Amino acid sequence: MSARQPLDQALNEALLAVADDELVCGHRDSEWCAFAPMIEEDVAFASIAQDEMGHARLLYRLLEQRGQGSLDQMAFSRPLVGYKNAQILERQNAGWAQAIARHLVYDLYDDLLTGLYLEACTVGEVADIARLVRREERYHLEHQKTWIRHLGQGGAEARARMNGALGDVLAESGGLFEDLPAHRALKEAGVLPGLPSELQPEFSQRLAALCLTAGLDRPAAPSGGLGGRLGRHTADMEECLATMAEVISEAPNASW
Amino acid sequence: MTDEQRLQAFEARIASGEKIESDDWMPDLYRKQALRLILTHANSELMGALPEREWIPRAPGMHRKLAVLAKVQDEIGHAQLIYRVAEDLARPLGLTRDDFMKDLIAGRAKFHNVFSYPAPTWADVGVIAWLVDGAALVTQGALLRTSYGPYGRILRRICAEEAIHLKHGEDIVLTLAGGTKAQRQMLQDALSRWWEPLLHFFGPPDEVSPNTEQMVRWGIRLKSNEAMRQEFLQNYAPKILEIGLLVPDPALEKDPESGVWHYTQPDWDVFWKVVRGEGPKTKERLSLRRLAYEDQAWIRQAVQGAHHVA
Repeated sequence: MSARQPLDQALNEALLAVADDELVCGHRDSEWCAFAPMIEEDVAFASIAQDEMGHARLLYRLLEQRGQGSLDQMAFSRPLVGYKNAQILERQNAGWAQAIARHLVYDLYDDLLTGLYLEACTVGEVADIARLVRREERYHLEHQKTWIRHLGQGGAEARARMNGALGDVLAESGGLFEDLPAHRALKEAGVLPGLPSELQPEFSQRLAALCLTAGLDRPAAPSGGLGGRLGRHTADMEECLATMAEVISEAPNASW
Repeated sequence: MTDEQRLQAFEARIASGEKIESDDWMPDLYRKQALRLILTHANSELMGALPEREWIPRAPGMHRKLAVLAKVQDEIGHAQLIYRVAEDLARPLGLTRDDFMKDLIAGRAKFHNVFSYPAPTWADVGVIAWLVDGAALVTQGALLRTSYGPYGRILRRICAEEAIHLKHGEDIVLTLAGGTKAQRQMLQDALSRWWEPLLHFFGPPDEVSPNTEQMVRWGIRLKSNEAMRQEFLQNYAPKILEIGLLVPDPALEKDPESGVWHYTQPDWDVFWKVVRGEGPKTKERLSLRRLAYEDQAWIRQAVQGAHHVA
């Protein structure tokens, strides 16, 4: 047994958390398609959903090459406890303000995760994917920034809804910054430069600046919603998995 | 110039194959007929997204999920492009996109019959993308040379994308046809369900309304309903049979002499019922649209407000 094996396993676990985040986020985005507040936004959210799921596909493919099973099996047919996404991303859609608030939080987090963390990975394939993902995520972030400005400056009702949604989302977003033992092992071995939790101060600072510009309240620090990285999920995740696997499970070994 | 002279000059332009642009003079009736046709198309693209969107979250596998999502995005993108054409045409009438949406959700506007039907299985997604989009491509292809220039230009792009949708649908259909017994049965059931709506798609064969004659004369429309239905049967019936599927019409047959396809007339009472807004899913789908529209009024107001501030 080589000394790299436990580290390989740790990296697989860390990558799976990123892939599952992208998948579940893209899935919830895709549910907006045809029901966004305007047609232009249907098109935009469908495009963002394809980007997120495309990122998930890149990561699952890399995991496939690393011997972790097939792409579709990983994405759609694992038991609930095998999924490592943060709980906030699995929560069911609950209106446009929540959609924008959650996406802003996720895009900001993802920008830091890819830019400060994954791009510095000593495994070349991981750094390459991170660079590609970050390039696309920047556009998502711009999109959400435009929306929080619209809603933050679009009258009392819109501002109140946006403030409320951002508060609710942040109170469940602690799970994004949760460290696994795998993350600590990777940091110790120098494969990755730090820990996800170490991204949080920078995240909060940037979010506060964005909220100030948009005319929104000063946001709280992300908290709560813990355990997703360890496979603990809400009932919303059960619904999500059942939906995603509904057709495939009719004939799991057939071509679809 | 008198109105009569203007009309003559207008008709001469159309007769010589010139295109009419949004700021050209046109008879009121031309504007209204073109607008009605274009809005029906836009509404259809938008409502057409609803049956397929239900399957985005459930699509089997990453490849299919991304493909269905991209396809639905295309359809809504088409709606957006066509509504913009309609907005220009409707401006002198004082109508905006908001009026179009209000008419649609109130059940006052037309959209294609075919989007009033349920899509209960994954096989329906394949049949819709292959055959419903195939039927749409026949009707849209027939409009490419429409006399209204902006619409014709947008249709070129739309037809190019629809052609890709056909490939996507055909791929789903062929995969199911080559799959397990249950998958083949699911496909057969979907085809049987969609056959009548597909024959309805092109409208009744004997179009005698003065409206239609006028639209053909002005080059807004170019082909008869029956000519388009024959084109569809010629393109798709042989392929359907080649896959080994059964068409639920024992009379379907091509006359070897004339090349004309014979078929049993679908129930045209059902067609008119759906036209009147009494299709199996018409009310449910319109009410989904209406709820989304009403729930989100605050967002449209906020965006307009933010524009005023900025």
